[in-house]
Amino acid sequence: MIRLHKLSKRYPDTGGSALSNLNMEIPSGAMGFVIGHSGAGKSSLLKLLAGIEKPSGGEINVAGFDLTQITHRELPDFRRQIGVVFQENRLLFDRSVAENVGLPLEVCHVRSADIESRVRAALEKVGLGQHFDAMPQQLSGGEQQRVSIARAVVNRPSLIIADEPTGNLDRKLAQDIMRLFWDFNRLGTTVLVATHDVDMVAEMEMPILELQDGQIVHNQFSEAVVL
Amino acid sequence: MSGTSPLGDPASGLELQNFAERQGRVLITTAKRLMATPLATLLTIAVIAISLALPATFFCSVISLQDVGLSWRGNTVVTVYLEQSMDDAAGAVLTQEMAAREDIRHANHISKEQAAADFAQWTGFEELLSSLDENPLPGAIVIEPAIDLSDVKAAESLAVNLLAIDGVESADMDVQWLERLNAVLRLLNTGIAIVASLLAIAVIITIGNTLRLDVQARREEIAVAQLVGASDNFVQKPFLFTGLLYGFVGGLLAALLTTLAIALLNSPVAALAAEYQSSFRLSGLGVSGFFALLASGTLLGLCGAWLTVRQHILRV
Ligand SMILES: Nc1ncnc2c1ncn2[C@@H]1O[C@H](COP(=O)(O)OP(=O)(O)O)[C@@H](O)[C@H]1O
Ligand SMILES: [Mg+2]
Repeated sequence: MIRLHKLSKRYPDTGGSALSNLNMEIPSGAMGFVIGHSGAGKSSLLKLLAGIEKPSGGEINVAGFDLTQITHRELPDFRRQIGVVFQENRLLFDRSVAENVGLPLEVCHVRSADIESRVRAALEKVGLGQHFDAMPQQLSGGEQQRVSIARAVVNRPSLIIADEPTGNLDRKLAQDIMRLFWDFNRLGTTVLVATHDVDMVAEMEMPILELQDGQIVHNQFSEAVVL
Repeated sequence: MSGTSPLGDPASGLELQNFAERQGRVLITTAKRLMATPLATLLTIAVIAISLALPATFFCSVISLQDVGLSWRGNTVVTVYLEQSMDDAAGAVLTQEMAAREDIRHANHISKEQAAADFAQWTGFEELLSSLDENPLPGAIVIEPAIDLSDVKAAESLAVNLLAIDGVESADMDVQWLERLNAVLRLLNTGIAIVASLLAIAVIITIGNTLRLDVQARREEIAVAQLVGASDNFVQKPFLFTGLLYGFVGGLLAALLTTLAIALLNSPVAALAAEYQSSFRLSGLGVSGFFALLASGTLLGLCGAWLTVRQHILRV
């Protein structure tokens, strides 16, 4: 599902390397965490995986797309294969919950009747079926984050990438969100979650990838692959 | 993948319907968005309409004047003035000779006596003439040429030929008047073309600027749509439709303004024309003019939107 080879990322304005010489492989259907201190390079890695940033060197392969070679025209096709969840949920506050969740379907021209039924199903899955017509600002922070998860899964992506999805939430809500990701993982979706919440990761008993100063210092995925 | 069906699939009719439905939905959303800020929308449309109506009104006026020139061409005549010393009998003979020429269709003799009568009637100086011993007016021959006098070369060579004839004093061609009108109209046409081009650029800039602000205001929406897999096409469409709507409605309003302006101009024009015993009026846009204005507006709107969106969206 994900394959990195000598991947590196430098931002032109800071000069230093955000990521250097990353090699790893994550198999289809896996779920795990990217951990590390603030500034370790977690967001940079996830942005590269989502095709939001371009690598400075090396190879990166995600869901069958070679992201080093991908063209601007091919990018939408790739993005439709993956679901991305951000810390600041990035909902559109001038649209209803249903319109937010339906956006990934709208952009690939699904018929409006199908959009409605699939949005309903996605909202049911995250436990927000009753908020179909609500506006995002009427919901709590945890509910808003669940709406953004519904948006990430509505197009049945093969890979979900989440960057600190529980960063703003309290313990209980964070656990609910993690359980939600786990549910999708059991349905076959590959899930990768970045977090600096080490306690929660410990509870989940799942493989981790630990970054420090832009380098991999601990990779339990490779152990899983070897097994 | 979802939303696509293989060729020949019976669902392709549905695909077409789906496509039409999607365009309709974007158009309605765009129209609603524009109507949500009625004042800003109206101001933009007004600027577009005025920019289009101004050259359209001038253009209609010039076309009307050109029509006058064209209708004049049909009865263009040349008046040949004979030498004062030539008497009416010699004038009549010369008239017959001229009528026989190949480049002249018809020649009509105006005797000295008739010239005096015409003069008296036109000027009212009857006493002046009768107080003179001798009629000072020359005879004349009014010629209808067989050639097209708007062809300047042919007209000039006819004039040379006529002046070479013994007893001809001068030749007065109405065509000179027509030439001058045409020259002035050509000048006006060029002027209007320049003004229209400048205003077209102004329309593009107006729409571009409005949409640039619109793109900035919707930056997050564009970014999120792109993150979930929106193509450039999808992201650009609402803005292109916005430009299209601005241009289309601006064109409609411009047609209204032009019609109004011409109606207002026509009452002083009628008064002026009456002074020259003419029933001349400025003609309106007409059906083709209306559609031309609508098409220019729509095209300019689309053009302004496309240029802006190209520049700003791909950078989001
Ligand atoms: N857009 C950017 N431009 C310049 N430098 C950046 C940018 N994003 C991140 N960085 C730098 O890259 C390094 C890694 O940051 P980041 O990937 O955000 O780490 P994390 O998500 O683990 O906190 C940091 O030193 C940060 O300053
Ligand atoms: Mg981060």
